[in-house]
Amino acid sequence: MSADKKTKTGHKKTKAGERLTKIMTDYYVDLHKGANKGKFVVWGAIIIPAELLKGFDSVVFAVPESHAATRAAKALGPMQCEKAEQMSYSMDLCSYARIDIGTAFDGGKGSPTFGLPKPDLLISNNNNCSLLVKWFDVYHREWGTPHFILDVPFCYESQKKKDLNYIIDQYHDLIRILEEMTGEKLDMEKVQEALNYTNEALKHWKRFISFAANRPSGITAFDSFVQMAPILTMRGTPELAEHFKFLADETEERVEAGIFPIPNERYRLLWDNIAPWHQLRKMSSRLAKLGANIVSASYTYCFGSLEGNFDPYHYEGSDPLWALARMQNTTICPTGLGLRCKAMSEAIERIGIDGVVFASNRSCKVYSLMQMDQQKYISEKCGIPTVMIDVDHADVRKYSEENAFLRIEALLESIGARRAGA
Amino acid sequence: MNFTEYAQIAQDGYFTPVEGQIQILKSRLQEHDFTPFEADGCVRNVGVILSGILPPPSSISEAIENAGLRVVGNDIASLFRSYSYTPEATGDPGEYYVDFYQNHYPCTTILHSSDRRIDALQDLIGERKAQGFMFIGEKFCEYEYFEIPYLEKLLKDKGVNVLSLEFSIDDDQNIGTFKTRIEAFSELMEE
Ligand code: SF4
Repeated sequence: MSADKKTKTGHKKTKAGERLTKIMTDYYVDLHKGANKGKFVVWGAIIIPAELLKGFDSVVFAVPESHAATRAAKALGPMQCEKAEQMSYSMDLCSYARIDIGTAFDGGKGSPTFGLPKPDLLISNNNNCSLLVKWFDVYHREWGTPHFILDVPFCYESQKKKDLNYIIDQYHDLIRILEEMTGEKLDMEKVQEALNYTNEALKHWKRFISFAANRPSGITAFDSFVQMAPILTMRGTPELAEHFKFLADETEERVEAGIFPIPNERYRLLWDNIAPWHQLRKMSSRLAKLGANIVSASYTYCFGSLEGNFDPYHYEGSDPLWALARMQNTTICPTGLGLRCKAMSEAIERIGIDGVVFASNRSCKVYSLMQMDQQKYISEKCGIPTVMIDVDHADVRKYSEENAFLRIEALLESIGARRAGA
Repeated sequence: MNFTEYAQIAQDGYFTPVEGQIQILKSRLQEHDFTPFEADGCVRNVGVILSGILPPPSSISEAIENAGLRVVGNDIASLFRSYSYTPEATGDPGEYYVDFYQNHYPCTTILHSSDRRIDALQDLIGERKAQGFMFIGEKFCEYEYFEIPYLEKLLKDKGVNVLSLEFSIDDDQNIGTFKTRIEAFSELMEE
């Protein structure tokens, strides 16, 4: 029976795929159970120091962005967006925010996870996306939930000592607030332990995405999109470390056994932007028919790396707050153009990319704003064809499959023409 | 001086060096007659406050004033929110800007000031005895988009008449629909 299960990417579900469904289901069940038992519920942005929260036994952690992505992948995006639009939230706002606001104010209806338990504290940061601060402010105002905003300097270069100390000072404030609100003292050893799990998990994550360099690729970027959910929600847990080890091991075995997602792979592409959640299956199968595989994505190779580096960041010291302050500079959005270009050039070279699909995302301006400059840089510096398509990561009403594929097919033609001329 | 003129002077300053701005303001102060403004044919005197990032296109300001509305205050990011508080010059630029941002009039774009915004707007409405509040939405300004639905609901609950419009920069065409909505909004309010 399980052998017939299909993943969102259109090919047979791997054991890691089945495992993912289980750990994510368990995560949401535990979250709701914890909240029902009176645990303290924190809603956080994706790169707030989740490991710090593990120093409190009484805290459970929910991530509205990840929850919104889950609903978008289940084709529920427009339905939930419309609920927010009916409350006068503009259709031009990020679709994650609209999905989340629509779901939250409708009591979790229409969500496969029954929504998220109501928060006791909201924690956001302004370097990844200041829009998210405003999004959380909506709940702060409507429900009166306290909102802690981490003010993190935007990253154009390696983090400065004074910026790092500034972030650590704010962590101390956050710890004080959490201790006051939960009545529990932070256990720093547990934070260190959580960090160790995250580091272990990210090591295996990097191993998993490195199979994109195989020819044909051992993975598709769509696999990495689906598998990244627990990085956002379960950092600092042994379950995450175990799961990513399982995922990397299974991928390695498949590659060794000659099992590839697109065996007739002729075009190896890189995706720049958030996953088009509503298109995972459609896009991957249509690409597969063309012999094309999006093997990697800036959205998923950035996890575990810092400041424009492609390689993972290893923290050797013994101060968890220091390590967490450094990790505020992970992911793409908090980094400037130069660093984004550096990481992408390295990915192109190391993975062996034939062309880049820049997906200009109507929702995520912070990801998309620099793409035209980045496209120019990559075309010139790496000398490979690139294309810009229009998407919205979670609102299918703002996406035209035909327009996107018209451009993607033109990209494949230029890759072909380049090869023929070589 | 009417709001259209006032906003135009302020906007002229956006791209003028500070010395030039001082010159413009001085000459306007000298030549100006400070009798209270009466819009052409305006027989009503209904006060409204405009809110947004930039002032509305001039054709819209004119439409507002010609509909018998008097702009008695503004909560516009590039106008009142910017000049509402000026720190003392201490000779230390660092100190100046700390003071400037800490005490800045609440603005959607200054994240830590959000909580003060509701009280500040209510005070402004009360002080100026405004009967209406008009959101001049800036297309794609997500900071504003997140606050408008909540503020709109809150002000309506407090009995303030609210109208939300949305423009892109330099959107000075197709104002017919906006005019009709502004006139209808004006008619809603008693003098
Ligand atoms: S705009 Fe982008 S970074 Fe911000 S919440 Fe939406 S998807 Fe996330």
